[in-house]
Amino acid sequence: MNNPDDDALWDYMEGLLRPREHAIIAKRIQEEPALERRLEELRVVHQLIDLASPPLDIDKSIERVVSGIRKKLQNPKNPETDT
Amino acid sequence: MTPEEEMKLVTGCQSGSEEAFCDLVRFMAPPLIRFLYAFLNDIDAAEEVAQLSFLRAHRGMARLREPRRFRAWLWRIARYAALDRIRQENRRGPKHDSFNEIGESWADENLVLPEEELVRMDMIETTRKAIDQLPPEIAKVLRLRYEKELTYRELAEELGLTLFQVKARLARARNELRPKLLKAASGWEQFCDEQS
Repeated sequence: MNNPDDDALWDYMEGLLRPREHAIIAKRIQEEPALERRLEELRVVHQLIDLASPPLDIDKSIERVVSGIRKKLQNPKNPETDT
Repeated sequence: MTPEEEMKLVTGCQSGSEEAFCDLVRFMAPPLIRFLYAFLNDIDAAEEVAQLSFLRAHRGMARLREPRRFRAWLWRIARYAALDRIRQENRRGPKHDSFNEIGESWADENLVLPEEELVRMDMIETTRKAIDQLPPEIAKVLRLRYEKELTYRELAEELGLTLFQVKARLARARNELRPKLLKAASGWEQFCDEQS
């Protein structure tokens, strides 16, 4: 079950609220320990997703890896095959 | 790619097809490179370790008795290669600082123990697995948001959704991930407390 405040907390964390809305949530967080705890929980979830989903130019990385592998396979006697 | 297609590529590799192997690399590389980058915090190192892992898998391919286990096997090879890489870096000089991103309670920048490396690896793998278990249309929004850093508006345009639908899918993804990740996080925190 979703907490009714979650949407506002996510928007708060991601800086998506208008200044007035931001100030209201910030004040509530200061005054409501339960809301503060909930924000901390969401922050942990956000950090973990962020950690596991790094933004990368993945296509370029794949090309570099494939090209490196092709070179090594074509030169199997290359002493650097395993480095 | 279906599991059957994946199996076909693996058996193609086992028969010596370089093309099949390169297709397999293209297919398996994105999640593997992301995992290695998240762990090593260095894209050059992540690509090097990915390449090394694929080459080790290629060398051992003939010995792989169950082609359907290729993916798990490759990831095991990559985990060991990444840990080796971190240990080599630690022997060489300054401590690796990749433990400092996830939260103060789980990391001490001056103390990098193998156990902490394993915890960090577990954090990344557990989170990725939890995301993989989401319904595909929900996981896709989450991945585009984090991996491509798209705004809600860009997500709506990319996926042909309304802003409301984008927000609803993100909310559902996070809501489904929250209990799983918090449960895991509590275990990691306890483990790290015991180590300190």
